[in-house]
Amino acid sequence: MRVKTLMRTRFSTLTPDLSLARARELMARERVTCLPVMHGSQVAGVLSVDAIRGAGPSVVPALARHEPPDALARLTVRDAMRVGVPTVRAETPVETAALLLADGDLEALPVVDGESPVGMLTRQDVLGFLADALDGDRGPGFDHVLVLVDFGEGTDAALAAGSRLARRAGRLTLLHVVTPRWRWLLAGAEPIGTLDWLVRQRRDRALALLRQLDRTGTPLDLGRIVAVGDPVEQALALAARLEADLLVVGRPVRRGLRRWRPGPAEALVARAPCPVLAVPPRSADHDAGR
Amino acid sequence: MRVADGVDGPPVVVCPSDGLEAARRRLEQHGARHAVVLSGDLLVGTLSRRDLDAARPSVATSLTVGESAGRLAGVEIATIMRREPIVVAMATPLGEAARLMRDAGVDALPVLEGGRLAGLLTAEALLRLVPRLGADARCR
Repeated sequence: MRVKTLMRTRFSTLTPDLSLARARELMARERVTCLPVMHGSQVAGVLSVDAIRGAGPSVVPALARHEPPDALARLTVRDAMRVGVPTVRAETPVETAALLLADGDLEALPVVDGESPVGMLTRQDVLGFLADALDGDRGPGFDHVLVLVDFGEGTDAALAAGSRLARRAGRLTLLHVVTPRWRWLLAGAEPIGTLDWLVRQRRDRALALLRQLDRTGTPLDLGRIVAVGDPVEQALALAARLEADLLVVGRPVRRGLRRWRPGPAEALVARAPCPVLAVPPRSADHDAGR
Repeated sequence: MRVADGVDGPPVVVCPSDGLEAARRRLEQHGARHAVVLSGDLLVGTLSRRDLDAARPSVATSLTVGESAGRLAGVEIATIMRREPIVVAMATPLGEAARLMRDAGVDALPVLEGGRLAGLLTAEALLRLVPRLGADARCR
């Protein structure tokens, strides 16, 4: 599991000169316990509700009596913010982030892309993830399922099997591979560089088709990829790079003698770094093929 | 996994009548962030370093540093501890404990067995379990 599946992506940012009273209001309104503090476009630190309590007036009545009534309005984010907080990236494993939170006694970690903040991962997020995982609440299934989509007869069946087998709140990535008609293009070291407009067009059409396959309301984290090259090689490379837990491939309807020729499914079973599920076309299609 | 799998050694124990400075020193000595407040055998509250920070006056206070320190020295833990904490048992499922902690916004849950303190489950200990969880999942 990666940080990006747990992080909050909509959040405000603070500046060091903002008053603590305003910062507290903002956090209450957004119902968050921690927000990043920006210095220009860089994350300079974080401010937590606990830090505001720490820097603010004493909670002991005998001492609070000597605080000005507008103490929080006089103090700024700079007085309470924590600097030197580690940051993580969207692709950082949750395990790494959990240790950073525990070791640093941190309320939250800013998630950055380059220098700009793209998310916030809080203790609560990780505790919730842990609770779900321990409860077996996420149910059985695979964390990341990669489905090879060829838009042939087997696509629907493969897609249905893939979404059924993905864990609740898991990832489902649809991969379509555009194969140039000219095989020699594949021999080149940089097939993308030699993409001609025809291949480009097929790629764009494939992306549009993949988008249509989206089902709204799925709890799955859905990804779409169109690669260019040999379907088997691309699927193997991406399964490894994306750390897929299951590769689902539709078995095409084969007619006549081609029925006996090994297809992509067989090649993937032989070489994939993860389990492979070869889904036959729906029975009606299958019968038609016989 | 149960709460028993996530509880570290015996927690730091303080008395409600202890002073705040004494509590801070005890926490620092043990490298702990949380303490359990016991009155005799009875659990009466929890106290964290963050609670101690919240007791300190702000820089806007009209008290001098010396006056602040003097007044803080006279404050008992009972004034600032979190009373009636949510408790769990050793046999409570760990997932349930994690959810309780998240929903209540607390960082530590005292563990009771037969009405007596048996340990303290901290958020830090739970967070450190996350990498082990991944390893277990891969083994399955």
